[in-house]
Amino acid sequence: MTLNKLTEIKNSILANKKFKKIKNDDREIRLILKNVDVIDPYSIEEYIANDGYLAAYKALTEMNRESIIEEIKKSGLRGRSGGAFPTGIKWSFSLSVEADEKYIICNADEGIPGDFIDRILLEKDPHAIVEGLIIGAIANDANKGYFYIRKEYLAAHKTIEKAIFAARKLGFLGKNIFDQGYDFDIEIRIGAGSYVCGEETALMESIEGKRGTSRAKPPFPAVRGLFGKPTCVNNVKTLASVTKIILNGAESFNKYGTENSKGTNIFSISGKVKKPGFYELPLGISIRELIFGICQGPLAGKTITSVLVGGPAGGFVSEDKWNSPLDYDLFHINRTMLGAGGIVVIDETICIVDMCLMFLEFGLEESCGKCSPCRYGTKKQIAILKSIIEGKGKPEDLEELKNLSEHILSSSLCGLGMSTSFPLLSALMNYEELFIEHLNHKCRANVCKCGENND
Amino acid sequence: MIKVNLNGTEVEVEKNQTILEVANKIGTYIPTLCFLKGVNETSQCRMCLVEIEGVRGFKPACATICSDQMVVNTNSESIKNAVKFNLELIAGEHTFECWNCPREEDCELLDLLRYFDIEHKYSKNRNKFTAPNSVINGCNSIVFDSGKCVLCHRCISTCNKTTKKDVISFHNRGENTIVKPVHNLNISESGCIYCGNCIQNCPVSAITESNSVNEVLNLLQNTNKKLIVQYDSRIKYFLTETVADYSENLAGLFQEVGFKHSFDLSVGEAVHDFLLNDEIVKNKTVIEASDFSIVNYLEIYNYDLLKYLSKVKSPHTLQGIFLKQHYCKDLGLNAEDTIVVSILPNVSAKAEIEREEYDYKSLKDVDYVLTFRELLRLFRRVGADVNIYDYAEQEKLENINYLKKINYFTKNQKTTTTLLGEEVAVDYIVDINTFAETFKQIDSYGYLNFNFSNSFEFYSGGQHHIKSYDLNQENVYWKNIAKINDYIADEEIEITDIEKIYKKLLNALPEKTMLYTDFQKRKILNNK
Repeated sequence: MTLNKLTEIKNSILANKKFKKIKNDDREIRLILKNVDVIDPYSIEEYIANDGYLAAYKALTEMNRESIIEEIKKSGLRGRSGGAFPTGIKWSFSLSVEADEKYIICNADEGIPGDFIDRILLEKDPHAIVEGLIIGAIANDANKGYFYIRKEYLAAHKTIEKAIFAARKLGFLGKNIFDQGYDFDIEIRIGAGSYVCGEETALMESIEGKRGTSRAKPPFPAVRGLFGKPTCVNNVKTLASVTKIILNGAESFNKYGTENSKGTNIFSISGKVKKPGFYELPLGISIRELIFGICQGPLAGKTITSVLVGGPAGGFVSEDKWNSPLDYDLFHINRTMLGAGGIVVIDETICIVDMCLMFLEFGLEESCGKCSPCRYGTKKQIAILKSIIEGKGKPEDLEELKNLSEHILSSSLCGLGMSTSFPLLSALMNYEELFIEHLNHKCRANVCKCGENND
Repeated sequence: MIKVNLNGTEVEVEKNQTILEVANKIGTYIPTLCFLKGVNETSQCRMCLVEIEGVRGFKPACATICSDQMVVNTNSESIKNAVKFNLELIAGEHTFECWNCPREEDCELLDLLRYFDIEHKYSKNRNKFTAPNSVINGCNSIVFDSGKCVLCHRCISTCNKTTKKDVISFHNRGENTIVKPVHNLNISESGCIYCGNCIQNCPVSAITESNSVNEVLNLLQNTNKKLIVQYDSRIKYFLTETVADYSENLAGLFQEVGFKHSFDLSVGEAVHDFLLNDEIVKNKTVIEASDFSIVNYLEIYNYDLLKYLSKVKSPHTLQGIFLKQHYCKDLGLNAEDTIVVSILPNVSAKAEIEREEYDYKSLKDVDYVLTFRELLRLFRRVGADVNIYDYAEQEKLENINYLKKINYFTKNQKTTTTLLGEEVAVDYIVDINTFAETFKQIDSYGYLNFNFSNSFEFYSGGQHHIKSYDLNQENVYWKNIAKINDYIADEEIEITDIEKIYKKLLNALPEKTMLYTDFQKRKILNNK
């Protein structure tokens, strides 16, 4: 496949069809979501007509490994799945390790409640991710890639499978890709319905056919990963961003965002707002602008009491911090994580204490059961929180909850155990009065039955 | 060489050493629970947490490799609190039944709880927490008790390392995680060969041998039955290691408990050697299964080799036949009222004696098998005068590898074996991981002895003939044979030819066929 052929396909499509731009909101910047709802996801030609596979071609012909990584580093792209580790540095790690075989994995095991961006990208722009994976493989010197897709995403499985098939047919995958003498192929693996398999080491165990439990780090995947070989695991959104950065250059990406959090991020907003949905916005936008501006504020007659950022791995943000920018650094200080960009808006009909319990139960249900702090500790947290919700709590329970949370946070094996306590900790920090009200048999939202025993 | 700062002391360490290894070397105590060197290094119990300067969160010492200029702190207040918290959580889920625990005081969890002085904060009666508890007793060898399990993963790693068959695994997830035979199968269907290595490596007693102590105790108190005990002579090592005041008076101990007669296994071993010798002369290549788990292994996974497997029954069952058929009559006992109890180091024997071919005219060869530690339980139950060493303190000081402490279960580390009283050198020691391949090349070896230590031993010595021995020589083995002779011969005879003794021994047994077993290919549900 040469550049001429690519342009040939492009021109033949453009002659018959006009693509128009789509935006959910005027303030949106459609950088990564450019093709979403615009092209037919099953048609590789329509993707090529929108400058598809040009970035992979460019990476293979005009650039070398170092210059790709340099470009990614320059763009300031950070991992979009929650860890926010700079992608360029991650890639340079696994490139620097010498091995006869290397792997790259696309983590499409999106399981955080309130997140649905990966799904949209997988279902509506699958080729952008396949292309991102090809670029990543070139940069990391990997000859084999894996798509680890969540079991529940049946449609995504189908689109990616067709995309890989079409790309292979045109010679973008397989032996000697783009006729440039480089071998790379992708295999799809379907998860078995476990949240913890979104954690990179558990994901690799799962691909190896083992029980999905996380491994101890170090050794990091970049040194010893899948099948004991250096492995790079990237999120769907990260790979989609990589494609656009290589295509349009680092400047087109890093002109958006804040100093340490460059580029745009796709936020998925759900909950009690007038216009929930997904929006691609520059990092650094304030929560207030996002919720009251773009999502058009609370439902009629209601007030927004809190915002949950990052799902069960994030935290509740109280009103006094709504003006702070949504980026990676500030949220680490606030003990919440931006996570993958999922935002749940809460109004007065929802009880935050009850929601904490829901997230803890989620964490326990999804714990792999390997290490004791996560497996047993979360269970004890639930027991205490349940007694508070049932109106049987004691004042010292709050201190116990805090201690347990801190302990689980410090000694868990993997990110799942560490992050399950985040919502509870942030709620205890920002909304302690709600817990005290529950101890006094009162629930503002009238959700918990904490008063019944004493009435 | 790189330098590491451990609690303020500069230590020079080699590359690729873990923090735990370094700490052990300089004598700094780091608690461990799931760690078992070379077997289980999954770092999931979070007991060996340490602080490393510049690293977020605590890191497990057992899995963290030292890097240059690393500053490690192992005894800060926050580390201690984290370990205590973890132990409190584990204790909150553990079923404490220390009074009937097969581990006695020799429990790694108990040692840790004692060392850190743990408050039983989350016990069931103080709070509303309940643990899912299920006891899986699917065969007569091995029992799983999830209530005692601390989910350390040791048994699973051990199973993988020993047999490569992965018979045990975690099931479910989160709080419902439980260790069971794979795919929720019954143990007897799972492909387990009952080697017992998981029992040996369990830090608590979540996997144990099935308990026969109660039944034996009931029989001891039932005056109609006469109990005869026969023991593997390795019990002496075990007792010297575990009992503080063991004075070598084993017969006295057995009598105190209520056994009528006690023997070591020399009769059975003699008969076994004799019959085996016949087989070796005839077939040249013979696999001797010194542990019944080898028979299980070959029957389930390697049935092509069954044709080489020695068909002679194991020494303790042969002696059981002898005791019931001959010895009882001599003493005027009724064989039906006689119970033979074997004291053996391996759990597989518990399954062995239940097999059909070990039943002769509805008279079992051996009625009960007790493991060494079960015997200790029995002694303690009836109040026999045994005091157990408390290793806890010594352990902390010397940092003994835990394997050392529990190796009585398969204490068979010899490099030579005796066949008919003659020393035979080991020809090959084969790593456990490659033994299946070695089995395939078996034709090139003469004689194979299969020992369940960490390696298997191969002997070639196909042509062993019974020779005449000079009995004036100081040889305990032959003295034992002479002693047996007292049982089989009414008149005293001068022993000059050892072959005569064997002939007499065999003549004392009713039918020759009952001395052999037949092994067949066995199908299990989990056939990989």
